[in-house]
Parts: sequence; C-alpha cells; structure tokens
Amino acid sequence: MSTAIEVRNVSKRYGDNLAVNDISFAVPTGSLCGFLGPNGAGKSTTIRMIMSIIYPDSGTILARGGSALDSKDRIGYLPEERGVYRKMRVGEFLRYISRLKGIDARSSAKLAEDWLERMDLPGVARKRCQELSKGMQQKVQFIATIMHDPELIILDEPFSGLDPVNANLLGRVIHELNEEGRTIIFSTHVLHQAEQICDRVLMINKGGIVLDDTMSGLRRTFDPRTILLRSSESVEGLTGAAGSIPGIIEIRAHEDEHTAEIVLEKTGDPMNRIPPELIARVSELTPVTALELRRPTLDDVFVALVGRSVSEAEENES
Amino acid sequence: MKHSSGLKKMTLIAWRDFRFTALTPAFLLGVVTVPILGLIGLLLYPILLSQATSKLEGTLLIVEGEDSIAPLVETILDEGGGGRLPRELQRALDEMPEGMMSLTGDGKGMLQIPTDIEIRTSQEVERLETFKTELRNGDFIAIAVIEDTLLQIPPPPTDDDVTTDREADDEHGMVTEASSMTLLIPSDSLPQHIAMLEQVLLESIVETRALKAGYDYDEIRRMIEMPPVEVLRMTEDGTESDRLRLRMIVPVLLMMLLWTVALTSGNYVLTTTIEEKSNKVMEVLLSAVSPTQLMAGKIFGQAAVAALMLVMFGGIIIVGLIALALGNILSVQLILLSLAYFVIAYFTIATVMAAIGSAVSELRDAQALMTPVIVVLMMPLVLYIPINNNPTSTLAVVTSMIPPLTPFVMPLRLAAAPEPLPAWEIITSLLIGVGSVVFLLWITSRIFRVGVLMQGKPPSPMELLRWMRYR
Repeated sequence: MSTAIEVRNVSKRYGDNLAVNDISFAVPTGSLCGFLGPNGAGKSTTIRMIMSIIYPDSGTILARGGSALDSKDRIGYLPEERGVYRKMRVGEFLRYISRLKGIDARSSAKLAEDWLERMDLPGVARKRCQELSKGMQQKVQFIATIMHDPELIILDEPFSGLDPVNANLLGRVIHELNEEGRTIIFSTHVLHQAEQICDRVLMINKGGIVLDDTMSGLRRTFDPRTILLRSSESVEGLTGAAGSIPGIIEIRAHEDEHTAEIVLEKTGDPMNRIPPELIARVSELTPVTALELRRPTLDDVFVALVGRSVSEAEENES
Repeated sequence: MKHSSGLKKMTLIAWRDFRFTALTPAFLLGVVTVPILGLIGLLLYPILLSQATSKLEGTLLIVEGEDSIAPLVETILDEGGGGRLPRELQRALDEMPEGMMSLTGDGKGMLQIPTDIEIRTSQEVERLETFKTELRNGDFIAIAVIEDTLLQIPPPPTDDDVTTDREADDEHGMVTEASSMTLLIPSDSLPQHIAMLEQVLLESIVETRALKAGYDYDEIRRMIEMPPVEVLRMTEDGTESDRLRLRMIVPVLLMMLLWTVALTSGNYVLTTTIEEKSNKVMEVLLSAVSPTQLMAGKIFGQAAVAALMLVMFGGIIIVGLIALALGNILSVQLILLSLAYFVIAYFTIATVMAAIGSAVSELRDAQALMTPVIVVLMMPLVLYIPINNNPTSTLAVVTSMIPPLTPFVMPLRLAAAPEPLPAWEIITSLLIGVGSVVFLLWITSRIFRVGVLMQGKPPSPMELLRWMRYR
C-alpha cells in the first residue's frame, strides 16, 4: 500500500514551547484518517508542516512522495485559520480559488455551480461572502478546498462552527469523497465526529503521537468487554452479587437504577461472545430486558491512553 | 510548465487585486474626477479672479496738514480706481500664456474694484476722537491721517539706525525720520477695499512729494517703469523662449506626481495584504500559491493600479502643459526616464509596504513600522527646494545616489537642470535604483513568507531580522 503522507521524526519548537516532539506516522493512500487530540496538542502545526506552510526544525515530511509545494494543485487544504474575501461574490470567490489551483475558467464556473448545489447552497453564487452566515461561509470554504478534485484532502477542524445538520452533511460528503478514492486526513478535537466516519485514527497529545491505528484494530485493542444491561426492575441486587459471579470483574449501576455496566474478564474467545452461563446467572438476579456489548468510544480510548478526557486535557492546557 | 503555472497564478492574483482596488466605483470616481476637477479649476480660476469685487462707496475722510493730497486721490480714483497693479502681479500676468490671458480680459480686472467715493478733508487733528465716533457710526468708509512730514522727501537709509538729530532739514525738504500714514477703518471693512485705499493714498503721497520738490511725476513713473524681459534660451536646435517661473514649477510637479502615485499605490499593497491577513483568507491562498507568488502578484497588481493613476494624472498634466503652450518643457527623454524612475520608486515603496503588511495583523499596528518609512519618504519633499534651485549641486548629486531618494530626486533634477545631466549619473542612479529594488524584494520575500502566517502582536525590528534568517 502506498503512502499519501509520511512524517518522520519531525519536531517543531515555538520559543520555549515544543509544539511537536519527534513524531512519526504514515497515512496510506485511500484512507480516511482522523487526526485527533485536544486543542493545543500540535494538530494544526503538524498539518501546516505537511502543507509546507511552515517548516519543521528537524525531521522529514513527504506529501504525495515529495514536498507539498510541488503538488499544491493536487492537494486540497482547508486551514484552521480560514476566511473569505468579504466583498467578493461567492461564485467569484470559488472560481478565483479554483483557478489558482489550476482549473480553467470555464470548468471552474461549472464546478462552483455543481458544488454549491451538492453542499445545499443553491442560489448563493451571486451573494457577497459577507452576506452569508458563518456556517454557510464554512461550507463555501470547504467547496473551495475540494472543487479542483484533489487526490489528497487535508482538513483542519472541518466541523467546527457547523450545526449538527450541516456537520452531518459535511461528514457524508467527506465519506463520499473517500469512497471515490481520495485520501483524506482531517483533524478534530471532537472525537465522536471522527468515530462516525474515519477508518483510521491518529491521536496526538502534548506534541507527541499517542495512537496510530485503524478503527477495527483499535476496537480489538481497546475492548474493555463491557456489557450494558437493562432491567425492568432495580439492578441493586445485581451489583451486590458481583463477587459471586465467575468471569465478572465489576458491576456499576447507572443513576436510573435500571441500567448496569458489567465489566468482564478477558476470555480469549476470538468471537467476543458473552458467556451463556453468565447470561443465565444474571437473569436469575434481575429481569433482563436488553443486553449489549458496549463498544469503546474514542473518548474512552483517549482516557485509557492519556489518563484523562480530551476536555480535561484542554482545560489543563489553557 | 511549472514556471508558466506560477506566472499564471501570479497574474490571477495581480488581476484580482487590480480589479478590487481600481475597478471600484469609489476609485474610478476619484481617479477620473480629480483630474477633471483640476482641469476645470485651472480654467475657471482666472475667470473667478477677473470677477470684480464688491463696490466700495461712501465718504473717505482725509485728516491732513497744510499740504493736501485730496485732489490727487480724487484724480487717481477717477482714472480707474484700483490703481496700478503691483509690479509682481503684473509680471506674473505678463508670463501667463495667451490662452489664459484672454479669459481674464486684460488681466487688470483682477484688482478692479468699482468705487463711488466722496472725499472730505479736515485739518482739525484735535477732532480725531469725534471723527472716530462718526466712523464707528458708519459715516465714513475710512479716515486717513496724513502728517505733513509724510509729504516731505524721506531721508536716505543710513548704516546707523539710531537717529539722534530729529530736526527736519528744511533746506532740502527732508526729514530725518520717516513717519507713517494712519488709516482708520470700520471693523467690517473688506481686505481688498483696504488694500485699494492704501494703494491710492500712498500713490497720492508719493506724487505729492514729487510735485512739492518740483519734479514731473509722470516722467518719474515712466523712468522707473521696468521694461519687460524676454528670456531666450539658446539651445542646439535654435532659440526658444523660456517662461522661467512656470518652468520652475514643472520639475516639482513631476516629482510630486511620481511621489503621490507611488505612495498611494504602495499603500494599497499594505492595506490589501493586511486585509487578507485579518479576514483569514491568507492561508487559503497559501494552499494554492507560494508566499513569493502571492507577494509578486500583489505588487504587480497594484503596479497596474499605479499605471492607471499615472496615465490619468500625468496625462492631464501633459495636456495642461501643451494647452498652456509649455509642451516644449517636456522631452520624450524626460518622460521615458521619469517612467523608469517611477518604476523604481513604485517597487521600492510597494516592497516595503508588502513587508510591513505581512508582518502586522491590523492596520493600526502598521503605524509603528510605517513611521521610519514615512520619514524617509518625506525627505524628497524637504529637499526639493535646494535641489530644484541648483540641480547640479553636490547635495543634488549625492541625494540622487541614495537608494530610497534616487527615483524622486533624479526626475526632479532631470526636469530642473538647464543642461542635460551627465550620462554616468543617469546610468549609475538607475543601477543603484534597480539594485536596491532587487535587494528589497529579497528581504521582503523573506519577511513576507513568515509574516503572513503570524497573528497577534506586531513584531519588533529584531524579530523581523530573525524572520529573515528562518529557513
């Protein structure tokens, strides 16, 4: 599998602050990779270095096999610091940016029109950018990033400032673009957004990579084997009996008193099945209405790796 | 292939900057209307000047001694009132081209004040207080107090200012100390009315002195009348008349034009760069083009704006000069060389502005970095008088070889020098100018690529130096 982005032993320092500390990773061609971590972890710095907008103090970076400068027209980049020319009309702005990326005048007009339609922005081409809401501007910026049909798309916090409806729309389009064969890497500090669409995850904290894995690999590694149980009665009797049931480490009751989380011991079963004798024993203690294997969220993974949640890390940082 | 795409991107950026700076209603209105208004003003001014001022009517009281100037005052007023034109004004009018003169009538209309003045005289100086009250009541348009000594021939100026002997030398009809005429006027008198009265009264005093001493005043006046001068410049091609005064304005006009246009368009580089930083479109642009392409595109875009302004303003000046029959002052060589120096001037200012614009996030932060630049740019405006007066002086030669001053001082010298400047000076100054532009472009491109991504507090000069060393 060829790599779209390769980062080797890269460090970047701003004054006393070591923004990126000797990181290495590779993003395979065709993947949809989430670049995750709290604010201030070094995501934007790394992305800017990938784009050759700033340069690392040490280490090497390859984008599409060379410097991003040599293939700017084949890369779509949505910076975190993004804006529009306020006085320019939306259509004009999109044509201008796409022409800067090598699209000829006639195609750029057609592309702008098509993409505005696809991003649910019909009829805004004649509007001035300053007349658009922040969310609409954001979608216009996204169009400007991808309308020249780049092979590699790098999005820095693409969801920030979007309402849930538009965030969903954007997530869908990102997914479609990936299905069409484009390599996409996007950063976010809201982990559940990444969870829904990416097939690969890079986690960064305090300038260092703490995780680099596929989503499926991740689920294997970070499977705490927690079962979520719902009962029609109180689960109190169940929590008291935790020690007497073999194969159970811990039972935690939720506040509603009808739900409990049961943490199981590892069994070595490759199918990850819930042991039948356990189901029988539990059913004796409380009337079970639902039983499901709880998947680890990326937030859980982050906590497991760093020892605190993303929001705690951000608070600590500020 | 790569170069052609880089050039294309630069052209796109240049075109966008040109379009959003120059092809806007406000700019076009300014660039079109200012020269047109200037031209209209040029044509209208003589006509406005020739409009007669308001009529002066009423009673003039002359308080005097035994010798009376009143009959003379009456005669001069009857002759046409306004008196003769001051000599300087007459000269300026003489130098005006024919076309303009015809607009002002005979030119004398400029000081023609219609009058209907009755003259009263009084020898009772002791009643002056009463007269003053009457003046305040509006009975007089003015009171002139003429002492007898005023009508005697004043003493020749001596080296010794302190005069000890105050007695009049009766034999020669001379006084040892000149006294002054007092003119009392109501509080609402118009300045041009007072000036006219002064002129008439003074002339009457002088003429009375001459008559008393037994001279023919008309003869004296003809005697001291200076003849007009026709200056003919002997050039290699033959003889051409030389309108000295107007000729002196042209170099300054030329320099001011280049200075204003270069500074205005250079300033657009600053503001559009800051705009792209403050509305955060900068990094979007940098995802498509390199900082150097962006900088070059912006500088060339505003160069087109400068060219448009130059054509409009310069064109009007050239048309104006030709209309005033002064076209011969401009040679093709002067225009071409001025254009070359303008290119240097523009690029010097625009690159510095690009560096400053890239380094700051807001316009008000630019002020601190602009101050030293403005001080340097003001130098030509301070130096133009000595350089215009002596375009081949050491000061002129030295300043024309100092990079930021070169492109402003050289056109001034070229236009002001009566003889063509030595070729080596022109070539050296052009080389220095181009060299400094290349150097500034290099420095600016180093600062620009770092600066455009910086947000927040403006950098100190030390930080700017550090940016230049970044790899």
